Parts: sequence; C-alpha cells; structure tokens
Amino acid sequence: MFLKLYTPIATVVAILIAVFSVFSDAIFQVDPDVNSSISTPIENGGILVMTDSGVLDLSNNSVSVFVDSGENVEIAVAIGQSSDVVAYLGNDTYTRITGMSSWTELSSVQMPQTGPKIPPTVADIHSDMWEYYDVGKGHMNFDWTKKSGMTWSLLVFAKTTHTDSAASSSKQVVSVKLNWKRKTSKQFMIPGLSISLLIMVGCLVMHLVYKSKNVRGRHSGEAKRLAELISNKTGEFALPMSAKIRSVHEFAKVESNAANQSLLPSLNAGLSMQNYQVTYGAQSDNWRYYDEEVPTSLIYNSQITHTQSISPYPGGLSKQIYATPPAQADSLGAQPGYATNQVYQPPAIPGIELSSTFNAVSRLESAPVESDVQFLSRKELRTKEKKRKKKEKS
Amino acid sequence: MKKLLPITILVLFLAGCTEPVPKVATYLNSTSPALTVNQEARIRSKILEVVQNADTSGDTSALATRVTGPALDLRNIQLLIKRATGKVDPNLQIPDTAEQVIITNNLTWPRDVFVITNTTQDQQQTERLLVIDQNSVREDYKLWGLVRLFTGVSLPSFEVANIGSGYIAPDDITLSFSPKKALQAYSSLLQSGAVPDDTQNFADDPLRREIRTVTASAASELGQFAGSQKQTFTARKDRVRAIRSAEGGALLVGQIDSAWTRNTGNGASAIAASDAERAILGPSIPTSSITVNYINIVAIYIPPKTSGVQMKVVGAERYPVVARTN
Repeated sequence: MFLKLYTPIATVVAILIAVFSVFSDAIFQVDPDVNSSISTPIENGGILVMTDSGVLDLSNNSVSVFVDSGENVEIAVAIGQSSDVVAYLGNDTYTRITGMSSWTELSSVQMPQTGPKIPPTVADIHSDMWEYYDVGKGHMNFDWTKKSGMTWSLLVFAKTTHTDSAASSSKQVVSVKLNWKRKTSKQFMIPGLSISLLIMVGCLVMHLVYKSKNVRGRHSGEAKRLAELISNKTGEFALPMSAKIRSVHEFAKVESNAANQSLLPSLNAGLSMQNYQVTYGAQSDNWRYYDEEVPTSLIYNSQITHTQSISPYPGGLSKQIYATPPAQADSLGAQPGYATNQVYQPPAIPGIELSSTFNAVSRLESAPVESDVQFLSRKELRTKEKKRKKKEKS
Repeated sequence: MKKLLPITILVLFLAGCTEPVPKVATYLNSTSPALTVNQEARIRSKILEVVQNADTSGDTSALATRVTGPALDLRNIQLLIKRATGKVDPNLQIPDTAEQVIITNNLTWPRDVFVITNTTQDQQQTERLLVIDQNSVREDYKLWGLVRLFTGVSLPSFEVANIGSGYIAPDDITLSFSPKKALQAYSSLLQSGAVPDDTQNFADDPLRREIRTVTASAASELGQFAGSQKQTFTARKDRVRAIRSAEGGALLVGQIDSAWTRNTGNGASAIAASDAERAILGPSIPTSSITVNYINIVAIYIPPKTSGVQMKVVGAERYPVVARTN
C-alpha cells in the first residue's frame, strides 16, 4: 500500500521541485548585483590591503573594484598573482581580505608588522609582477576579469599626503568595495533537478517493484538457480538474467477470472498448490539463443497463491478476502511433472460476482531436463536452418 | 519512517533556499608561471627601450635601472668599444621579437625568464638568448644575461610559457652536472687549452675554436720576439642562472672571467690582439707585458642525469673588459 500511495505523490513532488528549481531566480527575485565592502582606518599615514586568492572571483570571474578614501589620500591599486602579492608584502603590516562575512561585508584579518616598512610613496609599489597597476587620488575604480591558470589578488596602498594634518589623517579611512554581477544564479537548478531526477528514478524503481511484486518478489533466487542449471548443462551459455526472469513470469503466471462462482466452496477448496509444466523452446524475442530442434523442456513446479475478491461486498466496497498463507504453499516436496495446467472451477453462487487471481510462485526442481539443452547463436542457427532446408530439398 | 522520506527531502531542500554567502575556494598551490606572456613582453620592451636609449646616446648611466649582472658589464664594454672605435658593432642588436619565451615557475627569488629572440632584421645575425632576472620581490626584472646563440645550434624544447619551466638551483642534483659544476668544468676545459677530445664532458664549439685560433695566432706573433703568453679562466659561480628544459635537462647562462697575459720577449711593445682590445688599450702600449681581462658569457645545455649525452655550449659572448700593463 505504501508504494501504491506514495509513488505518484513522490512523482508529483519531483515535478514540482524541477519546475521550482528552473524558475527559482524569478521566484526569489534574486538581486543581480553583489556589493561587498570593507573599511580600514589609515594608520601611521599609510595602509596596505590585499585580497586572498579566490576573493576576487568569489561571485563571478569579473569584478569591479572600488577604492574610496579622502580627497587627500593617494591610492595605488595593483593586481598580481596571489603568491607574488603575499611575497611582496612580506613582513609588512597589511590588511588581508579573506572573504565575505555577509552579502554586503568583506571579512578581513590584520597582519602584524614583523619586517620592512610600508613603501614611502604610492609609486613605490609599482612592480613588474603586477598584471594591472594604477595610481590615483581619493577614489579609484577598475574592472578585472580573472585570467585562467593563475590565482590573482588585489593589492591596495593608500597613503595620506603631507598636506594632511596629523589629526585629520588619523581619521582617514579607506574602503574597498568589490562588485560582482551575479551569474544568473541558477543556483537551485542543478541541485533541484538532481533531487528531482533522483526521486523520479526512485519512483520508477518503486513502480516496477510494485508491478512485479506479486509474481516476482522473492523469486529471483529461483531464476538464478535456473540459470545455473542451464549453464551447467551446456557448459557454455547462460541465458541473460533479464530474459529468464521475464520468461519465467510469462510461463508461470496464470491468471484466471471467473464470474458467478461460489464463494464458500472456494474457500475450502484448498487450492494452495499446483504444479505447472513450463516448456522452454517456444520461439520468443526474449531468447538470445534458440534452437527449435532441441526438445528443451524443463519441469517447473509452481506454487499458486490464490486471491479472491467478491464484488459487490456488503457496504459497496471491493475487498480481498482470502490469500493463501505462504506456509501452506511450499512446493519443494512436490514431485517433478506432477500435474499440468489444472484449472480451478469453483461452483457458482448466484448474485455474487467472484473474481479470482492466481499468481504462480515458481520453483525449479532439480535435474528435470531429459536431453542436453543446447543454445545456439542466431548465426549458428541460420547456418543450421540452411543445412536443414538443403536436406529437405534433397 | 519511510513515509516521512519525501517530506524530509522537501523540507531539507526548502531549508537550503536561503542562499549561503559564497566561500573562498582553497586553491591547490599549483605551480604557475611567474609572469603571463603579456607581462613578459611588456617587461622586455621596457628593458629593450632602456638598452636602446643607451645604445643610441652612448650614455650608460641609466642602463643599471634595467640591466644587471654579466649583461651590464657586457653592454658597458660594448658601448665603450663603440665610442672608442666609432664603429657600430652589429652584435649590439637585440631583436625585439621572441622566438620562444621560457618563464620560470619558481615561487621564490631570484626568478628568471629566458628569451630566445628571432634573428636580427637583416637576418645576418643569429638569435639572442636573453636572461631576464628578478633578483628579489621588490625589484624590477632586469636583463641579466645576453648571449648570441651559435649559428644552426639546436636547443632543447621547453615548457610553453603558460605552464612555466622549473627553477634550477646553482647546485641542482638532478642534472648530469649542476650549473655551477658545469660552468666550472667548461672553465677548466678552456684553461686546459680547449683542444677537443671525446672524453670531455663538452662537445666542441665555436667559442673554443675562436680561443684556439686567437691563441695560436698570438703564439706565432709572439714567437718572433721569443715572447710568451698565458691565459687563466675562472668560473664566476655567483653568476649562473639556469632553467629546466622539457626533457629534464637545463639551459644555463654563466660568466667565466679570463685573464690573458702576453709578454713580448726582447723589449718590443705588446700589441693588441683585436680591435676590441685596441679600443680599451688606447692608441699605444708602452710596455712589453700586458694582461687583458675578458668577460666570457656562455650558454650551456646540460642534459638530464641519465641521458649520457655530452654538454654543449650553444652560445657565447667574449669581450675584453680591462687591460693593465705589467
């Protein structure tokens, strides 16, 4: 019941998730701009700021860098390979931008002074190593697009000019803002579609399990034994599992619907066991190898579970009223070839419609094969047929 | 429990909808070249601009901003000779286009870029091998080495510039000879007379042939006066730069200093052995004994350790630097 009920629900949920994830941007009205900034006071007349590797391309490979400070502050900006920028700063004191602490704020760490002093002028941070370099006053901005194969860092040097009084320079602050145009985020699309796909695959599997539960269920083990038996006989071929399982069902599953049958006698009929002879050899698309000349009959003992329903049931419902308990149904002790195609004919009860379903539960008995089973490839078969036709002609 | 599964998935999914702040990706510390190809081209054109300015004006004072090491010594003397002789030395030309740029992926300093230029515009001159060196992190790249490659010489292949080539320390142990030892070995070879021999670690090369020729012609001239000559070669182990080639060998550029002392026996004045010597010696030599110091810059290919191939000098410069009377 679980499968029957939840499989369709889960399918609907999966479709909803898929739709949601595709249109998530529109649903959430995601802001296409990401603006994240940080401010650091300019102490002792100058400050060096760098971004860790990976910060410049946090949200997109293209970033707009804005550096703002007072009008009297000289600024130099540079972009170099991260390892070079770190080496360049060496033991100097600097502010390291480490990432985003929120959507609007950058996080940072202050690196202590352990060695050389800050360069005397902004022009002094010029280096051949920088891929981008510029100097300006008060405000600077530029765009940067990540170049693949290397990791890049931003280096900012802000320095108050001599015209500043000591008091005002101590209040100067430099702010670094990074602005990304967010990739149309589609951030839910891949995870959403993945989850949806997973659920759908799950549903499909559950559906298949449900569909074949009554006939197959526990019996793939028997099919395996059949495969072993056959392959032992030929020593060469084993039928593909899938084909075998399907075929066992085809042959072993017997369903009958009988109308106007007696209810009570059927309950006492004790039709819990029956043996069926299953004949392999009839041509079928399921066979990969087939040779009609060889009598390939295998005795197949089947156990029948018999399910009956009466309709209309008092109260207007259909209800399953009887199913053979598995304990009674064990047919291992049955003799091979005991019976074939017994059909149950319960007596009629006027006015009540009884439908019966027989589901065969199959077990293969040991060594029932009379002659060697031989499987041929289609090519071999064709050759053999040609020979036979020649023989017939002659 | 099973019944809750789809609901749980849905709840977890919706809980994930508050978009997290992007995290900084931790990059593997993979090796990347120290410079992009564009950066290298920019740096090289700046260097060549400084060199060309000095070449045309003859003023060498600004050279040191972009030229250093053996290349600075060499350029100074080349320009001194140019001033003295008034001749334009075709060897001064440095083609501004590169056949190949070999960029180090060394994470520390010094860092080197080796550049093999195209042939000169008139096609009369061979390719130049430039070594552009950044000595420390806060210094600019400077032209450190400058060597004319020999005609028709074959060089090993190198990693492309956007991958970067490995650094080779002066006492590297992965090669048949460390750069220092290779330079020392070549210096000893020159000292021993430079006569080729199969047992040597080096194949014969034009520099050795030239030294043999000038020494022999000096010997025949000095012989007239019962004079004598002596040459000493000293490898400058502090002036070695090397970069790894693709097959695991190395190309090194290094400096060997040499002093060539010549005595004209019976009191005759010593004579200059070349125009270049004449340029630094001046119009007349008052004494019978002189020592001329030479700067020899050599480019040597060192094969990988197990290859069993001889080392090979692939390019060289040799100029007299200073002369003194004894």
